[in-house]
Amino acid sequence: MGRLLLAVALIFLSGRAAAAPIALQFWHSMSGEKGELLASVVDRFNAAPENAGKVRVELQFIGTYEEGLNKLRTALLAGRGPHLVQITDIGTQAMADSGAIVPLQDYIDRDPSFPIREILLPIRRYYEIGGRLYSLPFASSGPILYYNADAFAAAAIKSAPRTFAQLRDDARRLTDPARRLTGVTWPLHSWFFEELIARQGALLADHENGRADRATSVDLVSPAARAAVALWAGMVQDGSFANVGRGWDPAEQNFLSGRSAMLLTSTSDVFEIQKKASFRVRTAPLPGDGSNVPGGTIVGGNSLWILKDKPADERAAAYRFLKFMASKESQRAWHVGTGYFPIRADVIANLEKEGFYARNPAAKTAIDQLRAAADVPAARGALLGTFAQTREYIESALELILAGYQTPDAAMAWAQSRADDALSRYNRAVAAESSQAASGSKGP
Amino acid sequence: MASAESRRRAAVTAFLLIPALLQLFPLFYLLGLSFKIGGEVMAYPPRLLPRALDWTNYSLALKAAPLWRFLLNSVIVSTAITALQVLTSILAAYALARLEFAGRGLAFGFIMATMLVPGEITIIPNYFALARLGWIDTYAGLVVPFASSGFGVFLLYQFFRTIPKELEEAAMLDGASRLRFLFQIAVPLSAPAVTALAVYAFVNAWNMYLWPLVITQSTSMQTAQIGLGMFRSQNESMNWGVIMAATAMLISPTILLFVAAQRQFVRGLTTSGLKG
Amino acid sequence: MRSSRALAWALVLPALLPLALFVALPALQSLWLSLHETAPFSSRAVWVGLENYRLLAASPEYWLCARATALFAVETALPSILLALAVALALDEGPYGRDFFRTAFLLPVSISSAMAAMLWLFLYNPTAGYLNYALGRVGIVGPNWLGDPRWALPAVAIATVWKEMGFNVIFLLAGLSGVPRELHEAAALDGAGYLSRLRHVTLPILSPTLLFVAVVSTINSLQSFGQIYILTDGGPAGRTDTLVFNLYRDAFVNFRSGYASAQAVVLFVLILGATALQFRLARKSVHYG
Repeated sequence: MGRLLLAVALIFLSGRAAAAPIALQFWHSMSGEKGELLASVVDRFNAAPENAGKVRVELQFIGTYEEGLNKLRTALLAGRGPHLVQITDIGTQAMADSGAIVPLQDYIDRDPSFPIREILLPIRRYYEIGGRLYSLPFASSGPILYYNADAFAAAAIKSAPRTFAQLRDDARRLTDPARRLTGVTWPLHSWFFEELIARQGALLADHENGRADRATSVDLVSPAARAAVALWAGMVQDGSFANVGRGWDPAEQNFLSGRSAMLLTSTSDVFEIQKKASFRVRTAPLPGDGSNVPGGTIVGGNSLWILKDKPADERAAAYRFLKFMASKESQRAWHVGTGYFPIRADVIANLEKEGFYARNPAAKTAIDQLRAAADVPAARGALLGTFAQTREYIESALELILAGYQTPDAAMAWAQSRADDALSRYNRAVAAESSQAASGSKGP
Repeated sequence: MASAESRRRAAVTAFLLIPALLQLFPLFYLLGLSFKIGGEVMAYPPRLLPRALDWTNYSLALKAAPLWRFLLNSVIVSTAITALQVLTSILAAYALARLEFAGRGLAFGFIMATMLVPGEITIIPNYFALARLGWIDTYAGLVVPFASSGFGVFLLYQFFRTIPKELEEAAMLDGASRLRFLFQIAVPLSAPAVTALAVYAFVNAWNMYLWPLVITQSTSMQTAQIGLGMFRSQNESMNWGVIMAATAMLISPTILLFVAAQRQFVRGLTTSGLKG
Repeated sequence: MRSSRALAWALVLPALLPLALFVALPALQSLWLSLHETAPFSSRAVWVGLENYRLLAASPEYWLCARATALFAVETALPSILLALAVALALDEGPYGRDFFRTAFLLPVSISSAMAAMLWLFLYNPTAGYLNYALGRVGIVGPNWLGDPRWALPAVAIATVWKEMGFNVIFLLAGLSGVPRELHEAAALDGAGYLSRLRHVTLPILSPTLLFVAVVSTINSLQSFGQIYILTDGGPAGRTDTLVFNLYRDAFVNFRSGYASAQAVVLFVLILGATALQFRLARKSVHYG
C-alpha cells in the first residue's frame, strides 16, 4: 500500500514538471471582471511574438489580498513560492522585510528604458522605501464619494458635500426611516479611517508615518483620528449611516439597491457601479475637515513583486513582464476597463486629449484628487510591517464604537496598545533576523 | 378510540410541521436565489421566488470556476481516506482483538491515546513536515495524514471481540488462514460496524475544512469546501445569484447521495455512536 | 508463535504508523514549538521557555476567546439538544408523513458547515437578506446579525444548530426505540399523564443517549471552524473568535507558530479535561446500555 501511495504521489509530482519555455507563476487577487481583464492583459503578453514559445505567464487566483498574503507566506515557508505576486498596498513593508523578494529598483537601475519618470509622483512615493521603488504599482485607486443624483435632487441638495460637516448635514437630510433610506454608507474597513486621517494632514504612525525611519508606534487617538471616528460614529448614532459591516460588497450593494444615497468606496469600482446602478451616479472627492493643513488621500491598491527564490533568467523574464504591465497599452487597458487609475501621466494626458474624461467625468475624480494631494508624509501613507494586524485591531475598535459598546477613546487606546505590541514584536524579530543574516554572511 | 388516535397523530404532525419547514426553508431560499438574475437578487422587498427559471447563473458559475474539479477532488480525497481508514482499522483491530502478542497492550493503549489528541494541535507541525516532503498542494498531503483512525480501530475492535472463538477455530481447522477468516467471516459478521465506520469517515473527510485550507494552494487541488470559499471571494463583486448557483451545485451531490442512502447513513451513525 | 507475532505487528503497523507520525509526533512537536518564538517569514525558532504561556494567560483577548468558546458551546449544544429532543419525541409518536419529516430534519446534516454557512450568509445579508425582511413583516427591526458584536455569535450559533440538529435527532430516535412500550402502557394504566411518563419513564432510559449527544455536540462546537471562517471571520470585535479560530489566525495569518502552538497545547488540555469529566459523569449517571 505504501508503494501504491508512492506511485500516486509520483504521478502528481511529475505532473508539475515544467515544459521547455519559462513558465512564470503569477499569483493575484483580482476577482470577477477585473480578473478577466487581467487575464486578457496577460494573454497579450503571452501572445507577443518575442514571448510566444519562450515565456508564458500563468495566472493563479489566491483569494482576497489578506488570503493572498497568507498563502504567500505559507508557500515561502514550504519553498513553493511563485515568480510574481500581487500584494496589497499595506503589505509593502512586510514584503520588503521578508528577504523573499528582489527590489524592482535593482532592475530599474540597470534599465534606462524603464518609464520611471512617467509614474505619477504620489504613486511612486507610496511604494518607495528609502527612495527605492520595491515593486511595480499596478492597480492604484483612491477613496471617492459616490452619490445618487436622483436622491440628491429629490432632497433638493445641489452639490456634493466637501467637508465633514456638510457630509453629516446632507446625510441627515437624505435619511428617511419610514422608507428605510439612509444618507450614507461605507464598508467597515480601516482604510476609510486611515484616509480620513490623511485627508486632514495627520500621521498614522511615528517617524513620519514610518517613512523617515522604521515606525515604532501608531497614533489612533490623535485629533484627526478622533475627528474621523466622531464623524463616523455620530452619523451611525443619528441613523443617517447604514453600518452594514465588514467587506467591500455589502456597502456597495446597499448603495446600488438605492437604500443609501451616498457611498464612500474605491474608485476602482467606478465603471461597475455606474453600470449596475438603476439611478444617476455622480462622484466627488473625499470630503475633508475644511482646514488648510496640507494633506490628501493616500493611494491605495496593489503592486507587483518579483520573488527572489528563482533562477536569474526566470527573474529577468519576470521583470520583462512587469515592464510590459507598466507599458502605455497595459495601463490604458487596465484603467479604461476598471476605474483603477493608470500609474502613468502620459496615459492620462492622451486620454484627456481624446476626450475620454469629458465623456467619463467620474473616472477623473480620483485622479484630480490624487494630484491635489500635498507631497507630505501624511498623504504618502504609513509603512508598517504589521499593517494587517493593525487594521484588525482598528476594525475591532470601530465595531465596538459603532455598536455603542465602548467610547471611542477607550476602544482606540486598546487598539493602539495592541497594534504597538505587535509592531514592536515584529520589529524585534526583523532586527534579529537581519543581524543573524549579517553575521552569517560575514562567516569565513 | 380510532378517532382519538388519529387526532393525536394529526396534532403531532401539526407540531412538527413548523420546525420541519424552518429546516427546509434555507434550502428553498438558496434554490430561489440561484435563479435570480442581476438586480433581482438585491431587490427590496425581497421575493422568495425568482421571476423565471433562468439557468444563466449556473452556466456563469461553471464558467467562472472548475466546480467539477472541486467535486472530483472531494470525492477522490474522501474516498481515499475512507478506504484507507477502513482497511487499516480492520487489520489492526483484528490483530488487537484476536491475536496474542508481546506489546499488544502497549499498541492498543497508544492507539486509544491518539483519539484524545485534537486535530488542531497537529496542524502546525504536520504542515512543516509535509512542506519538507514536498506534499503541500498534493493529494498525498490531503490524504496520508488521515490514513488511519484511532476511533476506527476502537470501533471494530469491539465488534471483533464478540466473535466466538469456536468460529475461528473451526475455520482454522478447515485450513483457512487468519486473513481469510478475517475477510471472509469476521468482516461480513461486522458489516454494520464497518459500514458505520465508512460512513463516519467519509462524512468527516468530506467536511474537512481547516486542513485542506492550509494544505492546498492551486485552484485545481481545492476540495469543494475550500473551492466554494475561494469562489465567493473571487466573485463577490459579481453576483450573489452566481455564488448561490455554485453552492447549489456543490451541495447537491451529498444531498442526493443522502436521500438515496438515508437508511444506511442513519444506521451507520447510530451504530458508531452507540458503540463508540 | 514467531510468525504469528510478526503477522500481528504487520497488521497493526499500517494503523499505528500514521497515528504515530501524524498525531503523536506532531503533538509532541507542538509542545516543543510552544516553548519557542518564530520570525514572521522564516521557520527559525528561538527558545523562550514558558513565555508564550505567560503571554496567553496575560492576554485579555485570549480570555475573551475562551468566553466566546464557552458561550458558543452553550448556544449551540443546548438548543440543538432540546429542539432535537422535542422533534424526536414527536417523531416517535407516529405523525403522518414520518419519512418526510425525518428527511426534512436530516437534510442539513449532509451539508458541510462551510456550505451551510454560505446559505446563512445571505439570509443574514443586511441589505436584502430574507431574515430581517421577515422579521420586519411582523414588526421587529432585525439587528445587523453578523456585524453587531452582540448578535454575531448567536447568529453563527443559529446556523450551526440548523445544520447539526438532525444529527442529534438520529441518535435520540435510536435511543427512543429502546424504550419498551410496555413500560409506557403500564404507566398509562396507572394514570400517569404524558409529561409524567416523559419524566419518569422516557428520560431516565434516554439518559445515556442524551449524555452521548451532549458530549458530541459540545466537542463539535469546541472544534467549529468552517462556519466561523465563512460567516464572520472571527469578528465583529472578536466576538466570534473562538479558541480554535484564534489558533488558526495566530498560526496561519499572524504567523506566530510558537504562540499558536501554546494555544494548541492549552486546547489539548481542555479537551482532555472535558473528556475525563464526561467519563466521570457517565459512570455516575448512566445505568443502562
